[in-house]
Amino acid sequence: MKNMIFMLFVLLLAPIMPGIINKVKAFFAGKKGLPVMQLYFDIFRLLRKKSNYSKTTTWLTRIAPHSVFAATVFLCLLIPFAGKESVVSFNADFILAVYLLALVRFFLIMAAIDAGSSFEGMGASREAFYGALAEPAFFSGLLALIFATGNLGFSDVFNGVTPSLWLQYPAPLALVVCCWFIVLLVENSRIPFDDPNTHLELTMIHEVMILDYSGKDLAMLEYSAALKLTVFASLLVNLLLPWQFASSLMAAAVFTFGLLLLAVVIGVIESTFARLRLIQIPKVLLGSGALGIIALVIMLSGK
Amino acid sequence: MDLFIYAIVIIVTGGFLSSLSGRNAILPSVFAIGSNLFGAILVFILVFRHFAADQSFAGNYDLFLLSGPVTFRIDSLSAFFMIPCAILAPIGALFGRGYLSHSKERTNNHWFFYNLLVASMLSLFVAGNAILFLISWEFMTVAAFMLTLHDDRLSSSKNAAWLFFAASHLSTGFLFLFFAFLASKSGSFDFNSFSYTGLGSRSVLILFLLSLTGFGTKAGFFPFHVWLPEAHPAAPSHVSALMSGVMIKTGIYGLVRFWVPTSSVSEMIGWIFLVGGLISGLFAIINALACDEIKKVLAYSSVENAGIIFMALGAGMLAREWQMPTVSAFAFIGALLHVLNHAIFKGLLFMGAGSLLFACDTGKLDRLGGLMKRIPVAGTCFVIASMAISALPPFNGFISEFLIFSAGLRSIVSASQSVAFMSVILLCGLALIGGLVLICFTRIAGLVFLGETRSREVPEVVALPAGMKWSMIILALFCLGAALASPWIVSLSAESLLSRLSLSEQASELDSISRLLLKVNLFSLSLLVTVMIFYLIRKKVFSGGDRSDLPTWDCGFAKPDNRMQYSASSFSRPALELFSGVKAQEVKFSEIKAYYPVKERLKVEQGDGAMKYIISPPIRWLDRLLLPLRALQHGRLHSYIAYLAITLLALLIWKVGLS
Repeated sequence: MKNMIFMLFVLLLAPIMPGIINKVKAFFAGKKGLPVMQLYFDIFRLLRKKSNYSKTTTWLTRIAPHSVFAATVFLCLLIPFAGKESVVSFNADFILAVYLLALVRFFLIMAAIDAGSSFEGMGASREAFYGALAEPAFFSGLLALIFATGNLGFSDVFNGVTPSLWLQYPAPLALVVCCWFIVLLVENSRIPFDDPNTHLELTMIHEVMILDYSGKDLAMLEYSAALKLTVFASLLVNLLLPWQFASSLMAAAVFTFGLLLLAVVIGVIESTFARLRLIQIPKVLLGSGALGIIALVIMLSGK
Repeated sequence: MDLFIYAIVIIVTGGFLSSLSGRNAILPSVFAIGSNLFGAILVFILVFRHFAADQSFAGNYDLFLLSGPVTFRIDSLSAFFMIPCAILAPIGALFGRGYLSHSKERTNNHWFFYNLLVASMLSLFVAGNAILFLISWEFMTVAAFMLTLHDDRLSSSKNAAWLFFAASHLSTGFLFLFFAFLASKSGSFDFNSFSYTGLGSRSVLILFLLSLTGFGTKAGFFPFHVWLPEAHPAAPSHVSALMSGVMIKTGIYGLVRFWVPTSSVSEMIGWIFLVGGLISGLFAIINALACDEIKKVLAYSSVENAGIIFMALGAGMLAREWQMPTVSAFAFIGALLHVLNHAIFKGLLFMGAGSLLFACDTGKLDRLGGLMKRIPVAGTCFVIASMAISALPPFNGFISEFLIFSAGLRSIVSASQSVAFMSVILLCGLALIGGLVLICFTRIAGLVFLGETRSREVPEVVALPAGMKWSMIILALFCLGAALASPWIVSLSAESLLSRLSLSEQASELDSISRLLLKVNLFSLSLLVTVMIFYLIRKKVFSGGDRSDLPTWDCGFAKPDNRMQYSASSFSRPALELFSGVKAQEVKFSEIKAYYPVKERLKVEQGDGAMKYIISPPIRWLDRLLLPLRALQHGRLHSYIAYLAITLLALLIWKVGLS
């Protein structure tokens, strides 16, 4: 029950994350910026609007936003939030989580191709490619964590990441954090991999894929993107803030603080980094996969 | 056991009847469908009786032509490997009836060889001795060769059939050596009498390499896969489905039967399977990304799936040798379920590709597009199969990959260094392959069925016959059904299968595996139902005022042209550039250095690096070496008679001299 409430809380909180990132970016640019709650306003406005579909499209375009939204919400069932316990958990639930993300990607790509435009096709091609490289990177970090904690499920692993584990394996865990942070940035199409503010030719990945969506469909997709960012951020927050709290209110407060702080960090990175050239991105991704394996090697040699 | 003989007799008789039924338009295919369905039902009863009642069947039959008895024996492995064949054979026949309906040629002989292929594969799986095994193996090869030649006016089809024939016989040659060695050691051709005890580990390894070359050629093990992407696309689509779905598995079956149970070199074999499977998988999927012909993509993807199965088998063997029975059980069950699942979704994919060839007469990715609106059943089924092969829940591909991934994750918990090495190869390799598969199948499903057509003029599209549609719908339902049935399949068959692979796992452990699968299924099924309900509510209640008569917005670009769409080659280009070392594509063009425009050409050639750099050089070398021997063959009859006389004389002298 407690975990269900934590999850609903995260579902409500999700749209604030992009808002904070944008606020930080506006601060760096010396602007006042959009309100932090802007995405909530956008979603409510879009939900009142009607959707337009191109006559090129098929049932895939229509079903994709629903599948993406439902799969992302179902993903949240597997992810531990404030209480370090997820609503549903079983052995090796990581795999289901990774493949739910792949399901989301599949529908986004198919819907993008469905519009029959070169813009969206390009976005789809890049999304597919970076997704293929991000998946092994995520697994390499996961392997290191499973080895460190000896547990086989999201809840157990994050319960196993305690302050004493950080003292035992400081360097490997830090490497896993780096690895997953890079995966977060690429999976959510942030700078330095993609520029979420534009859908111009040079940067188009996620934004350009949903170019032909409108109304309620767009609202679902925007919300799902924010939720996906929050899910990845939650994994990192659970790693970085290993303390357990007896009171759930305290746990929720610390967790939320961690999430918001991470959003600020992402905002700072977006403001101070330039976007990478596309050719460089695979190297960074393969490098991040290597970080997880190095973490594993360090722990193995210390054994 | 009699049931099995009946099944074979029915299928072969069905083949004879359709070949004898003359010019009749309907009879041949009716005989084929009926006999395959009937035979398949008998096989299913047999398989079910075997697993449910744990009965083993064996029978010895004396065939007057052979010196020894012919032994049929059904154990868990043969029973399990027969399932894909029994599923695909009748559905393939149903599809083939529609598929061949527009060809003007008579189909009698086609159906004869089709039934022969099915019967020989079935009897191969139950062969209890080497003689029956090799006879079935040869029948299978010849039948598949004849079926590949169906379009024998196309030179590409003839070349592909030849390549297939040569590769198959090379593999049979190695198998002859392998069986002859084992038989000479044990004094009998019976599989039960074969054993590697008493052999040094070096000679066991040599035996393994012999059979790896023999079976691996059939199974598409790198670098012996080179014939596969040529031959599978050349056959009619329902035959490609059978070849990719079942015939590849005969090679895997051979290796599983003879090498996965313990031997003195199990650890070595485990590593070879694991690393070789990874190389096969990666190499094949990268090549699949470079192909521009849909059936070729599917053939490469079969090699990739065989690679995944090998990786899982290798991990299972290593885990068994390292005393991690649970990890091993996960990997083995995952591998075996993948054998079944791959047959289902790859059969469906080949039938979808066949529908394209039927409807538009081309499989070139860069010319197709927008077919979902023209042939919706084929399109929807193809998308479902693409999801299944990309291991997306809730379809069957996910179940087997889930088990294989779990094996990797479980092994890391109690890791020493070599275990960790195995897990990293298994998990990161599978994850990378999985990601590339997603690119590959969004590419072909998306660019063929979605968007608009990419050729200049809108192609004529022929409506699909009902038989083709229904066979695809049935297989699409199987994609979901096999996933839902997986806990039940595991609890029914896993124990006897694992004991056959020398792994005696606790029944409670297997129970927990099937409970885990049940949970996963429940989760992904509720996701499916949620999406459906959610979509229906949206459609019924919240869709007022939605418009679907507009052009694609495309950033307000005013005059979109179909040929401006993203194409198949552009879609996979980023990935291909990263893996350009694999040499899946050769791009020939010289940069323009002059200041003014000049004429320039760009030529992109798709070639298999393994063929070019590994297989061809030794064959060319052998060719050169043997060239002088052609002087012996000159067509002069009297010299040939002289050869005979010399040979006889030599034999006589040898015999006399010996005594």
